[in-house]
Amino acid sequence: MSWEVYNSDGQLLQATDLPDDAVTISKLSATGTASNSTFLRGDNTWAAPSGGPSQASQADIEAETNQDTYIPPDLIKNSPGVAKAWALTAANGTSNTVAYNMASLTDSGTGDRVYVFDVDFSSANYAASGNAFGPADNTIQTCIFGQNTQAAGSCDCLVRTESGNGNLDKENSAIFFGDQ
Amino acid sequence: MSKRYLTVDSDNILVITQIVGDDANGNKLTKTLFELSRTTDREGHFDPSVHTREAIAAGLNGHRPLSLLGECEDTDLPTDRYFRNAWEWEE
Repeated sequence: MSWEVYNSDGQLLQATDLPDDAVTISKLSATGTASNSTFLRGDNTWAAPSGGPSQASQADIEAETNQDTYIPPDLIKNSPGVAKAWALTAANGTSNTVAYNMASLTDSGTGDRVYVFDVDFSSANYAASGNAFGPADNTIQTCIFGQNTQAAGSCDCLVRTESGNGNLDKENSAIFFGDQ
Repeated sequence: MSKRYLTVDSDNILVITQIVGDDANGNKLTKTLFELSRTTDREGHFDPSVHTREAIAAGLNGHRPLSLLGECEDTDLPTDRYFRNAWEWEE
């Protein structure tokens, strides 16, 4: 036996005809308990959300392990593809305009800077790169890293031109990649 | 104004260091001395409990003896590189 329900105006009441806010939670046939810590799943069950993915460890991030974990903001730096230290150094070599993971900057002479890292690399085997800024002419200016010292905790940088006539005081950038 | 710290390189030339950020316990400056004193040691890590300024001044294995000469304000520095290279420290 089927039922048909009409409203007070004699119209057939269908699902699409339900007025807004007419169905309360208690009218649902879902199993489980509705609360402020459950949600209604597609199988008509009130269920608590699972705990979600766990936090990745530094070792997992460094190894780029394929797993369902999340990387918190303070551990993103441990990815192999992320720069571990960087700086933009003023032309006179006595200060950094901006820097990350730098403990100090030493001016060792004309165009000769030593960067000391706040957090060391795990070894002296890391990559250093940078650029020197100068007048907009055809002179090639570059940074030479590790000419004197490339150590786990520091790296020197010489700013030179293609002429090779010694070092120059030029603004330069320095970027370091590797394992910490 | 900010502090600058003075010591010498392996050729006994005066070198000038700026500490980045706070250094309340002086570890960044001590670590800088540790790093600047390196000769053959490239892999050693600074340990403040072992690598004290006294130990660095006495000379660590793979490092040359190095001490802090003094400190000044950045405004005390000769602004010209020629004069800065010729600058000598006197107590």
